[in-house]
Amino acid sequence: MEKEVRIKASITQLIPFFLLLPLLTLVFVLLFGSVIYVLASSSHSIAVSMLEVLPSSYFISAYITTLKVGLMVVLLSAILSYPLAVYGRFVNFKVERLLSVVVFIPLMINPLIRAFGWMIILGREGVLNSILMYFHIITHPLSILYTENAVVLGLLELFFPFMYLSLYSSLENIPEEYILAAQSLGAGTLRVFLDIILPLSITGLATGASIIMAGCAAAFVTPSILGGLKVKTLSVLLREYVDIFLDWNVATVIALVILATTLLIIGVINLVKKLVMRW
Amino acid sequence: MRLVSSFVWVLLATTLFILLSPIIVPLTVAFSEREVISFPPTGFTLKWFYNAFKFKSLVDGFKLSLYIGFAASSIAMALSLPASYALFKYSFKGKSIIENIFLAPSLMPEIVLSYLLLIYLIAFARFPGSLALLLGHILIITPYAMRYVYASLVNLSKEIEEAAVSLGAHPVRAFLDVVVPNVKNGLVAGFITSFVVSFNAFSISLFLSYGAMPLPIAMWNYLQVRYDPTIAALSCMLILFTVTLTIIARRIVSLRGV
Repeated sequence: MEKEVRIKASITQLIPFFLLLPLLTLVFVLLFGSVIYVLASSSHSIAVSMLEVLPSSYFISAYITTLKVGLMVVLLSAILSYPLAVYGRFVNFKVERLLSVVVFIPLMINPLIRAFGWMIILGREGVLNSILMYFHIITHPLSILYTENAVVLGLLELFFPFMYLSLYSSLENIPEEYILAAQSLGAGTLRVFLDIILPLSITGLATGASIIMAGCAAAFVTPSILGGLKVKTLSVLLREYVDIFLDWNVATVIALVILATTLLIIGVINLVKKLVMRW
Repeated sequence: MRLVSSFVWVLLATTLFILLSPIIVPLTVAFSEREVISFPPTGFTLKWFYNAFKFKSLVDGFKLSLYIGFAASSIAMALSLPASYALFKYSFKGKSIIENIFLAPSLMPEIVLSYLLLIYLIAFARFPGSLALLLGHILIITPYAMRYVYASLVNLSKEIEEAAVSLGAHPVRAFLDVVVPNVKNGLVAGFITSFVVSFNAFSISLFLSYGAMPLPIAMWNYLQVRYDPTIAALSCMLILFTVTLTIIARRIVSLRGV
């Protein structure tokens, strides 16, 4: 009798295990399985191609392009969203109400369609050039499509919402009493901004920056459509080695570099956030 | 102060332009009569909408994307429900590690994941392309499915289920009759969201589709060869489709703060 109870108790303890098992197996076998398989099966050839790929000029230039594009997107989205988020939070709530709706619209739509939209806008006979020529601001069409600037614009549209949302949520956590207290003690607007708002929202800025940098390192459709054949980010290069050059050793090295860079960015930014919080 | 507010309005206008113009512009071009995409659009025609249905690769791609999205979301939801329930109801060692494992697919860059699965599932394990594609889609939508299911369980109070059990219901019965109906909305919203994510996914489909191509890949291939308003017309229909689905999901359940 007692034994039966004990068996029943241990079966009950196993219930959560059985409930978790199917999904856990799937994620484990596919995600961790593929990483382990790739590292274990070809560790030697990976090491050899790493020595060959990492110092090569095409790899270094793709790496620099990826970082440059990512930093530009971080910078531009911060310049656009920071004043808007601060204004919407503390001055005019209507701005925030508008943006909180608008920011979600692009997120529902396929990035391929949005990149296609940029193609129509930025092309030689595109919307932008037609308008500028119509008003005689320029005499020859600008070539923006298939340049780094086009990629930056496309990625800015893709990732702006993440910067805005993480900035706004950090501003939302600043109690208005802090600002009223500072103002009643005689602090001016600039002083309030530098001493209260900026330090308390820096974590939101950091979160947004890390999401954008990681996203830019991994984005594929946008740079491949808007960058044409000229602008090569790491993910565009990866796909070329898989589908066109059929050199999977090089492709593996590029994939591992993208993964390592992403994890490094997330890790460093988390560390910075922790340090800032303590300080 | 007026200087500040006019500066903010300039920024707001720029932001709205950047966010919305690439969505609005294809909508206007889709009705243009000229064979080449040009601006401003001339005339009014619906022929590009008919044209989109004439290309077999686009129609087949749409069907395949529907099948994959439906199958992947169903499986992801069916696996996420018991897993979230276990995380919600029981406390055990290593719970936070398991939660992180379920989030891992969203931390991995999709293009890297797609490439690794190509080597692992297709080149090494010799899986048929359609199965690899389905598994890849399930993997990338799992974090979304888990988030919705878990969020709807958290909103449910543990007491109702305990009340049913203490009144004599078998635990399985209590789960099916008490828990499931109460989280039904969360399940539907999670299913729709997972479907939209799968329907829009690009890298995973690009690397894992051999032969049959899901719609985004078919559109991408089309764009490399032709530049006419067909894709704009198709974009119109797809924008309507995914936006409607997302709004329905948002209406069913609001996920604030999850």
